[in-house]
Amino acid sequence: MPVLEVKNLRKVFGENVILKSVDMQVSKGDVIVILGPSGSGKTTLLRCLNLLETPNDGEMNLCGKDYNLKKVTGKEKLEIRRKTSFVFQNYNLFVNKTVLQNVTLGLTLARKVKKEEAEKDGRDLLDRVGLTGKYDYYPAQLSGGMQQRVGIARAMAVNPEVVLFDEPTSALDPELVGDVLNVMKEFAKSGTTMVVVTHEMGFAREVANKVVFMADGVIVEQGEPHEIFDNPKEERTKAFLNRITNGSSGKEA
Amino acid sequence: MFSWERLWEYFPDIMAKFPVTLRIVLVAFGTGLLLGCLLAAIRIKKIPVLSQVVAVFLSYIRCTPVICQMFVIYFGTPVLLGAIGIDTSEIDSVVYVLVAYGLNMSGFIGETIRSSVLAVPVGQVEAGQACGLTGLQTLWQITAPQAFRIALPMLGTTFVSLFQATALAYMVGVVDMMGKAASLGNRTGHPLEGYIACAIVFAVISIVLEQVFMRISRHLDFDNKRMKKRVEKEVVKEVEVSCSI
Repeated sequence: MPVLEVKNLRKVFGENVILKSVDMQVSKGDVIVILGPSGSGKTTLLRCLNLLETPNDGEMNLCGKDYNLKKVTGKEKLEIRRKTSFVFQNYNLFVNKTVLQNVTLGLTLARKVKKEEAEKDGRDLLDRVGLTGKYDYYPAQLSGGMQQRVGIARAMAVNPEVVLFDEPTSALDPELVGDVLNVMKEFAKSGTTMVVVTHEMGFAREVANKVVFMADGVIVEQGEPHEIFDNPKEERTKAFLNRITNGSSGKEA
Repeated sequence: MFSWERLWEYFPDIMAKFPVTLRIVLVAFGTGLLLGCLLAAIRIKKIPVLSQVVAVFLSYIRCTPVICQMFVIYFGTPVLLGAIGIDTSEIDSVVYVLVAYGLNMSGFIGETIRSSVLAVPVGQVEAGQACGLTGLQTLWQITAPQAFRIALPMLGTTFVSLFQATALAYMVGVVDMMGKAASLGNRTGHPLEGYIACAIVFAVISIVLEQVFMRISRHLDFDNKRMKKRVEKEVVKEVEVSCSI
């Protein structure tokens, strides 16, 4: 049974239809990479999954509970957000909180974990992402790569059912991308369920167990990485992959 | 003729009225903060009707001199309350001053708060939501502290301006520092020393207040300045270690 399933997900901004009836299933331990050209609705889809954007239509089943996304209540939003977590393209670390507070806030406030316990877990996670000794730093005191690793630690701290990554390496200098991808790989290997929007083809090939290709607000094609990369069926997928490989020869992690 | 001796003599009398000035400043600023938060919330949430009423009120506050606002309250309130049968003869004139300055501050502080809240990047709020925080938790933990940090320099300037603007209160008969200087001048026929004493007191306190706000502002800094200090310290440590080896 999938951990997260959405059906008929639809999102409209004004007169622009961004998502046209998207169906998606995420099973426990899945690492799903969403690919697609700019404006295809990848980020909007991800943001709809934890309701940073409220969909215009659709149903969601998260951990066995059904939600009607068209009429989702504030309480249900909170419930969904407390079972998922999100890593932002621009990190969005709380600038007025230290690194450790960034990681523990979701635990102490949203999940009522005791402060000492949360701080112990927070330190362990920060150690895991290679930020030992930076607990009391403020986000502005860290490099972009470090900030994103804090962002990942913050997302992992709440022990979510699914972690949503929105282009986590796009805002980073090229030499910092590797560290962040390595941290993501490590969490993927330890069984974390992930949905990742990225242009890192190396990561998709190596770590994902499913690749979803989106264009114009619909899922055009999905399958295992080797199926999508080596033998794409749809013309639009082929054209996109050609453009990517010819343009940059595919970034490797 | 100007006399240093007289200036020195006036000081204690003028300083004795400092609590009156302080009371006006604190009450008006406190009222301004509370009411300002409310006005800012109405404008940010764009509450129908109320939002338009607030916009008109703000235009009035920002486009008229504070002395004019004070006279309108001072002369207008008795007329208004008298019309519904309330006797205002017992009300101390300082109350009108407090109301006038309180309303004036609410307009300026409200706009400062509104622009500061809107200056907090939307990503910060989204991160709060994504962490599973409620709207109130996000406001209290994330938006408010960051908005306060943004607002602080402007609030400091407003506070100092208010402190100086209270000097107008003596126009409606409040005996504050300026009122005392005026009455000493009238009594002795030597007004200059009293006003110079006032100028010195206002200048010294304004400079101290500015310094206090600057220090608070620096203390609440969570940007690169601390990093620079910390990185410098670490570099020094590393150099010391490598030298000792």
